[in-house]
Amino acid sequence: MMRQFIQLSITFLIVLFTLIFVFVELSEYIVNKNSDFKLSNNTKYLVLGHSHPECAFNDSLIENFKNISQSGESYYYTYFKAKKIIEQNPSIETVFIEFTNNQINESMNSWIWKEKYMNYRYPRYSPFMNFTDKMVLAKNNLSGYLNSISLSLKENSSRIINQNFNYTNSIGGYLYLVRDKTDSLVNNIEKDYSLPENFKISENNLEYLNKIIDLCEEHGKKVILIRSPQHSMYSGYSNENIYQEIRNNHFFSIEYLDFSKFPLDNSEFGDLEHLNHKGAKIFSIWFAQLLNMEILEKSNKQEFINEEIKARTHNNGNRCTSH
Amino acid sequence: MLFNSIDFAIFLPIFFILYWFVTNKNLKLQNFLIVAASYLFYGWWDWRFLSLILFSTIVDFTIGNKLREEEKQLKRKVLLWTSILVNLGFLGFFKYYNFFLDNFTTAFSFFGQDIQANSLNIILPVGISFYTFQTLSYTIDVYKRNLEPTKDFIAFSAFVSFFPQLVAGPIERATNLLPQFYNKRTFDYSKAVDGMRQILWGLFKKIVIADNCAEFANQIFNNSADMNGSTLVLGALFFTFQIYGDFSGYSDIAIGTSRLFGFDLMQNFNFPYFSRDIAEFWRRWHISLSTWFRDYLYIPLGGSRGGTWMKVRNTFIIFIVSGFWHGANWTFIVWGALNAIYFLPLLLTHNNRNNLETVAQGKLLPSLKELTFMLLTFSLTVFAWIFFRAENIGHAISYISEIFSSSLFTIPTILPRNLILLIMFFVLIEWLGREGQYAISGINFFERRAYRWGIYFSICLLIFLFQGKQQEFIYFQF
Repeated sequence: MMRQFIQLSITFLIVLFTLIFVFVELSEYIVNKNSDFKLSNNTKYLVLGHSHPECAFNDSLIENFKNISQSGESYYYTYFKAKKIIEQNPSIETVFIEFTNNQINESMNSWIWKEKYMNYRYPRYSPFMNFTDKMVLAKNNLSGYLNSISLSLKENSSRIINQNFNYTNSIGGYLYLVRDKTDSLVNNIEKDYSLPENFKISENNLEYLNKIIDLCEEHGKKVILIRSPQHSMYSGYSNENIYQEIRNNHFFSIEYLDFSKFPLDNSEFGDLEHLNHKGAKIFSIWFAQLLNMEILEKSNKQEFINEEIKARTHNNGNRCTSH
Repeated sequence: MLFNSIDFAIFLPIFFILYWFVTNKNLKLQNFLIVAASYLFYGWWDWRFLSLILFSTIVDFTIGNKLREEEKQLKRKVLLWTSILVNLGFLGFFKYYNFFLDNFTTAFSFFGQDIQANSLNIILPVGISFYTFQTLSYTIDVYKRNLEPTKDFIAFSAFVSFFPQLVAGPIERATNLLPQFYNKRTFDYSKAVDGMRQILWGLFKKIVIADNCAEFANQIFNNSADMNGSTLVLGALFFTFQIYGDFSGYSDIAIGTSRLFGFDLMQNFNFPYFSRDIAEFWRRWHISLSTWFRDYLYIPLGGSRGGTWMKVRNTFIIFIVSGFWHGANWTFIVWGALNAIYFLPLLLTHNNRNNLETVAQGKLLPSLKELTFMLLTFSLTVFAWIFFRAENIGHAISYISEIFSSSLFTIPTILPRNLILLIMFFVLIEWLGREGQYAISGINFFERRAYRWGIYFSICLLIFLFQGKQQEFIYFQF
């Protein structure tokens, strides 16, 4: 009797897990096969990243440009989105990838596998992940991952039932930020920019940045790392030395454009790390001009940008006095 | 360790193997394994409080044996009160110390006497109210000579700490559970299968119904000032199903798990929301606690034997104490008192034992009269739950005031359609299975295994697809 009980229990569990596995895999296969990431035909430039570029690049003001950055997105999830977009949009020539101070921090790991982030992003991108990618999540947060699988099955089933495979509206875009609290932040800030003793970098996040770069290069796309404008009092600068070291050691062959010192007034920042809609408008118009001046064809891009920024700072006089 | 966690999913099969294959030939060893596993299960949450369980075990075991030898009534009474004071002393300190302190200082301030008293930062040990009552039942039964005290310390420790019901019941009587540790357990196939089925249904109640309802109930109760009347009604309904799914789900998992190891625990919930009056509701809700209070408090106080005044007094005492057992907050006391008010008219008019059998027994649908009384009882229960869930009395009153305003007739601002459909499905299954021990216990009606498995797979898939965000069991905090 005991033997029969154990045999039946094991059989039941095997059938159950097989059923769930088949449902999950089948739904992911169907969604992956039909997924639609097509952008408009004239999109030549793409910007990827988290909330910094999301708030900085108003793509309605920049020709042939698409901003698909999203708040709280680590490179891990950006990679899957980038893969599909690049595959389905041959018109893209250049991919700008935000590479800023906080993206090297260990806290990025929680953006990958903490339940709050995983439950939101995994269901969206699971059809485009392979076994190794999924194991990163399972290894670091098994219970959260199991929960995300169920959410993913629900989302994929709903896409299949509704025949809705379009992703272009849910993968990010320019965020029109109205917030304006920089003055109060500046007045109340504790000016401690020292690096925490237990500072660590997120190897996982950087690994997926590498993967995005490799992916773009495999498809013949030009890759440029960028740093969006940030307020000079932004605490993220505390790791600047390590940040520069990583950039020089790991990404020395990738072009890098630093806009972090772009001169803006406090009222043009939403907070110390995000531009609000006013700042985004000024920066985007200026960035569009740079593209029109064929900045991407120049060999000394950063010097050119620095000169432009300097001239602009000079012209604006007291703009962004903190720089 | 939570029943709905990966930890428990690993713990249970390991324990199963050790229990049935390694220690099965030696009863003492098997009981020792139960104690060790139970301490591990409890210690997973906080090992420091294991000392409380151990101390309680030693005290009641010793007193039980002293009661066996002692013939003098006065000394027996002293021994009994020692056990009561030790057990309730722990409970009082960990659970009620700050409550009494706050209320005393408030009372003194009210009369113009400001006194300084520092409240303590005390963590409430999980399940203390449950195992305290369980050990008390042993001493009281031994004192009353209803039970022979045990000489087997391991068996007694296993009775106190038995992991399936240690932290949230059912609160077992020593007369029922303790003797089960004296006899060799043999594996019973149909009992084990039934246990697995009950675990599955308990998980569905907890993970799908309770956890999903919790999300919306919390959202609505925590922001009640910004919600309209209809949303608040929905919030109270979600909490009604949350607490039932959560607590009865836990009991189902506890009972089912025990059955896997050859133990029979008492039924703790018997479809209470299908009750036709409050008396019936209390015969079906948290049965192990209600009967505990009945046997060890209500009857010793005189029960319903005396005059009207005594009946009223005893009813209020038992309901208020029951409310207070749930937590050190006036909201629980008001919840208890409210139930006493609901119950008294039935008791005084001798209508409290009208509905002893299951509603619409043997029929598919209830009569119009039965349906009306069920809805009325359900509404009263939902209303009382508002006090149970509210942060304080003021919160409950403002919540209720907003319900009885014109905004009651507006569209709810929060309307999770999927969850409402799930609740409707759940109520339907519970209704169809209301004559069994638990809703899907009658599944053997399907003779072919393929049909039964089809139902089990469907429930598993529903759990997988509609699982809510994992929440702790509500009754852990009691």
